[in-house]
Amino acid sequence: MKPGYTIERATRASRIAGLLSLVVVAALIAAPWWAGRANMRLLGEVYAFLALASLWNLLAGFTGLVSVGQQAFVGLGGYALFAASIFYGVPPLLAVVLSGFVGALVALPLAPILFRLQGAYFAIGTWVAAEVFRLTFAQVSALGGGSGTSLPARIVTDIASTRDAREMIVYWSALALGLGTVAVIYVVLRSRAGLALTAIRDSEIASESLGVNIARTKLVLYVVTAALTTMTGALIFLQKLRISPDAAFSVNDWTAYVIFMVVIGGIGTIEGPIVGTLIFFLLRETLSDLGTIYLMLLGAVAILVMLKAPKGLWGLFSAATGVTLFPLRRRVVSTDAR
Amino acid sequence: MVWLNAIVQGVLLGGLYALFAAGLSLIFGVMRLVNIAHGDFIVLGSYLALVVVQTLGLNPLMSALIVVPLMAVFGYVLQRVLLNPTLGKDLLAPLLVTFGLSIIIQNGLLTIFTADSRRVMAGAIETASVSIGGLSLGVLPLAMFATAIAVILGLDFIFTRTSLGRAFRATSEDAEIAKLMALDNRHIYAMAMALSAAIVGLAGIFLAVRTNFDPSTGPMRLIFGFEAVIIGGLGSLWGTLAGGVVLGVAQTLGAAIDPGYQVLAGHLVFFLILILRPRGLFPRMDG
Amino acid sequence: MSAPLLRIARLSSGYADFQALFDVSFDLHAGEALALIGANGAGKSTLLKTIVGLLPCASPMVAHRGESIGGLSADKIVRRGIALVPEGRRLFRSLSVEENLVIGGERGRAGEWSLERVYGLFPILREKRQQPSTSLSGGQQQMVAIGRALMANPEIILFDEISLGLAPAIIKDIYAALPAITRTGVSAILVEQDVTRALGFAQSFVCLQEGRVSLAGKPAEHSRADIVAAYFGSH
Repeated sequence: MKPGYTIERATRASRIAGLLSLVVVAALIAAPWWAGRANMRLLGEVYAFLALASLWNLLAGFTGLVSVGQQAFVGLGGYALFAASIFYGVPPLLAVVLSGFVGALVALPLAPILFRLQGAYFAIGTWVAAEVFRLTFAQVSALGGGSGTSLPARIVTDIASTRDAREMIVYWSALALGLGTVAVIYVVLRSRAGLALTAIRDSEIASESLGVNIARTKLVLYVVTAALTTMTGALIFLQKLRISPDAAFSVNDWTAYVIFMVVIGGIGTIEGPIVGTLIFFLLRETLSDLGTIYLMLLGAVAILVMLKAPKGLWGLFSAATGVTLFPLRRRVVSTDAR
Repeated sequence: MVWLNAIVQGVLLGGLYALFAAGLSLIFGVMRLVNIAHGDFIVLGSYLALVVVQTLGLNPLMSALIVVPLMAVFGYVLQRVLLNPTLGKDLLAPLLVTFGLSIIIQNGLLTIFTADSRRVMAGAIETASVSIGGLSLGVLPLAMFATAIAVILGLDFIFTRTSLGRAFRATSEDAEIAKLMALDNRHIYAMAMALSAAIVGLAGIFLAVRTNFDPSTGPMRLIFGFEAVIIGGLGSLWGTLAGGVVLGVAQTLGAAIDPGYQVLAGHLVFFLILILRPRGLFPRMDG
Repeated sequence: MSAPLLRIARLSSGYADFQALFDVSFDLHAGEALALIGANGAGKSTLLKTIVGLLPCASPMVAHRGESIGGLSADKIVRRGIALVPEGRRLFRSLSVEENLVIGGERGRAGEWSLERVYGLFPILREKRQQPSTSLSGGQQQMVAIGRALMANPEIILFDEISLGLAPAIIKDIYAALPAITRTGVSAILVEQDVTRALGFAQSFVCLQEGRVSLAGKPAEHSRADIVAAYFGSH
């Protein structure tokens, strides 16, 4: 018999995991019927951070654009939602979707300016941009200036008339956004553009010579990430119903924690941010009573992981077991072996 | 007269920003490291000054005799233990390790000193001023500016005239060949960080005397230092002073229009320079 | 019998995913000049870099005066008295000619080599001492690179391709200076493309082929044909 080979991406583990995750997703969709209000809120928060972490990872882990200013877009999303619904009467859920366009429109001219800064200076530059947004929105008195504002009751009831129905809708929106973001990233990374991204990460010069337009790929990715981050921000503040410049553009809440999640979970993989988000919330729900000590622990763990296991916990697990849930690379498999 | 006064105050404030920037610029020049915790180091220096002044009853400016060496040792040890292992890999490792450090320092300070805003009282010098051509110049801002110039002169001397400076230049240019000069680059990098932290100590003392500070004020100091570096031009020592001055003037002019615009005006000038002169006002010649 | 000045014993070395040297062994004796020859990619530069500590290797593979120095960092090995004149000269561009020389000697051993002595060996450098090293011609830069290594007062100096890219007349000048260096008791390992020149200068030689020693001994002991075969391989 002639030896045969086939090229495939799926692994046995990824097929089993695929089935398993279908079950989990079904359970999460049904959460309004089995989880209490507090747990649903918590889950909603988890989904938002899952989206933020996955997006930050897409930028840093695959294009090498390390931003510490993603709070610019989270806050922008929040304010876009508030402005659109308060000033123009846009239905809140539609405003969440529209805010994505706002994020992209803002990111498009901002990117070329920030891209003039290299490496870590790019990171701080993004932070300055976020500060500009924060200080600017603090000057907008129609949105409460420095002390912020709440979403008026008439707009809140616009989503749904009862509180339960409203929370269900917001919950499902968050779930859709969290899972949708992971799905979009998976599709992007599996596409030709995704291969180009991995090429950029591995060697900028090599991929230049292969005809990959790095500047354009980076720009597109930055804008897409900004759009989705802005939508996530809008949804976060739809959950909170209250916004202020300091909360909207908080570097700790929207970037530091997110970076922690990605680093702990494993940068440069799709699984890493998912694992990292779960670990972060596990730690937060059990240790946050420790206050500042808890935050110092987070910092120390992040440093330790970066020094000792730069691929994160998922990287350690994956290296030890060979398991990947979202296989990105194709493998050559001998068909004789079956 | 209001405007002239604002400009002069801005120039003097620029001295402080140049101090913030010099330490940042120094370590970037030697090892391409950007320390995200730089601002928190500055605030750490302020708290050290506070403790020294409170426990020993020293004059704040004299506290430098203790704060500066302490900060230098802190910088040296930190580089050897935490930061050297991150160098030479990708950009992420040093960035994220210093980011983690920033969180640890901020929350460590919160644990010890609470979130209360503090200030170090310097006595008569705080309000003393000299009158020049109708302008009243504070002695403290003048001292700050003079210190910035002295620090930059000192760094210039170290870089161009001393053995350590040659080692800095050689290691930053070609770390492999520098090893063949019997240079231990782990030590050289740690010396650069020690020097940076020493300057940070000075900056921290001036910050503590000039304004209120609390554990969360570090990041803003990092941003000001960073803006001064980029405005002045990467890798240029005198550029950091120019950058600090431009930033200081932008801020005081902004504040003269409306106090809410002080910081924002600085950011906007930073972006303006980034758009018009991406390599800064005084780019280094050898690129 | 006392230990040789430098003993390479079953040395294997290379880069992250590429092994360049396999089981290389030879001795260098005090006062000796040894030519390391071989085709491009035979592993000559890798060997010099491994000896001086720029590439990692297991501890017992390199011994200096009977003491194992394999795996020490380059700065420690240089302090022990082993200096490398790197391929491509690699002067510090941001340093002047004199600064390049000074930095070579600041942390090295004490000994007879000084700025004065280097200027005595290469008088042109005294004239150009304040100039940036980038303003020099290739030959002058090579002189600075050699002087920079000598300033550390090494007892072993490793020359990596010192004639590469230089005009013949300049190569002659550089080689004319080498006896003045070895006369002071400095031992040398010389990596050189020009085999005839290298064998004319050295008392012994080692020929590498694809990372392995293919021939070693004294130039006079081997026929030209043997050396050519060892150099290119016999296939």
